Amino acid sequence: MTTNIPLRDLESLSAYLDGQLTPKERIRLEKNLQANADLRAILEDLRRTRSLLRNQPRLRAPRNFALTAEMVGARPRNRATFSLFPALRLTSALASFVFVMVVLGEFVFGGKPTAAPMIAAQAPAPAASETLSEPEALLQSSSDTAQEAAPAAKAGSEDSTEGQALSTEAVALLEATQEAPPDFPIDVPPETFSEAPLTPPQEGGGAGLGGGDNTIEEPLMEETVEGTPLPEAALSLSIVMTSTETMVAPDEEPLALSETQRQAYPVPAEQEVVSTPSGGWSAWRWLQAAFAVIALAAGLLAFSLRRTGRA
Amino acid sequence: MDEMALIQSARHGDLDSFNRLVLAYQDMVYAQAYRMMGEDEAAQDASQEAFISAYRNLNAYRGGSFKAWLLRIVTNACYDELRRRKRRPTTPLEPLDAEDEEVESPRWMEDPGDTPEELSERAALEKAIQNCLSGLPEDFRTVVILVDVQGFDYIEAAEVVHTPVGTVKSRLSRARLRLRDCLQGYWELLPPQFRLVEESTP
Repeated sequence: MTTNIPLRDLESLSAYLDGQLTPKERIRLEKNLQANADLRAILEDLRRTRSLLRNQPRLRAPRNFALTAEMVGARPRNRATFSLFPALRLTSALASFVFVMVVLGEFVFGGKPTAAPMIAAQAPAPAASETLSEPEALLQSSSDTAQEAAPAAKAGSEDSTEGQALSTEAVALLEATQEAPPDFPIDVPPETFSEAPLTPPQEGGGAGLGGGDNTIEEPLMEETVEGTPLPEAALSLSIVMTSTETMVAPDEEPLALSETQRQAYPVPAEQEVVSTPSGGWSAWRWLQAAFAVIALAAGLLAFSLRRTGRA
Repeated sequence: MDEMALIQSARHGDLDSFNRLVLAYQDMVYAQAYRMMGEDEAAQDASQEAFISAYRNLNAYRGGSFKAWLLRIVTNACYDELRRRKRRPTTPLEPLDAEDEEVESPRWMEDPGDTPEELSERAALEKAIQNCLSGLPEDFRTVVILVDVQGFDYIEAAEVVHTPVGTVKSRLSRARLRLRDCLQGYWELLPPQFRLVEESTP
């Protein structure tokens, strides 16, 4: 029925019912209505359809939609935390920028991580553990080490009968070591050993070590060999094994052993060195790490805040 | 307290002021949602979500008709839900009456003064109209509900749907023509005064 009616007239019928046509459009449509009975019939249908819809009962809300504090409780908190978002984003950007500048500065100004000379760090953890259980592997020292460690070792040896018993065994092992090179990875040449006699122990010099005997779970050796003659040189030997933690869990704390050994047995600079997180990082590295952490933390926090705000 | 004062107060966190606005508009918001969705539960969810969203975004209200602003929010909530259903179609769980027939018209819509026959006819007519509305494209449906069911004028409807008035006029015209065609199939349900010309004439 509507096929012979122009679409324009059909669309105008609805607006005509609502009085939304301009006077010119209304006059034109009324002229067409007078001439076309089908158009009049459609107009009547549309009028009834509209009337049917307008006579639908008014729906009422089946319940109250008033909001409770719980429904919107997160809003004030979100608003407060969300205000931090720009600051966190700026912090992240600045920290990233400074991080890049520090990295560039390290290259430009030649800042290098100061590698702390140390021995035994290149030895694998099981080797370090083995070293602790086999005193002959540690029976290598320089004269400086002996002078530094002797007081502490002496103080410890006075309290330790076990240490006394072990001292002769250790010397015997040392002699065996001179004949057969140990498995210990750092090979200190014999000529670096000092021939100077061991200085006498000082009062309180081994305060930090003397009490170790009572707390050590594994056999702890603190012994001093004063003027023990060796075939090649009169070697003053001091063996200090004080790291209880290292002995308990040598695999987990290889650096503690290395630190002790570094104090007791300084190694020439030409030996291979390894940087450690505790003492081997330069200021550049610390700055890099600090700014990288700040940038990451602030960025992640800003990201999470944004997601929370969207939710 | 006038509407703008309530809005300002609600913007400063006064939930009671906002709830006075809710009470004033909740019937209209729910009716729009129900006609859009065709289901009571979904309409309630959309209405509640719309009011929460309105409260949280009060600062985005830039004046003009608050009623139109609210209806735009609930209409958008309905669009979101309808699109979600298109992605994940589900079988609606309609309540059943004593004869295991689906009850689509909620009990609260019934007029206790009507006779059983009148109730039955009214329910059937309601169902027919809602079916025809649900068959319309969403944009057409929104406009015809706003103008013919809610009683908005063209300018208000254009503000709700955020389109020019000419677009509203065009959509409304097409929606009415489609509804007219759809309701031809339910002519026996229509009250005599509403029976369409084409079917009423043998």
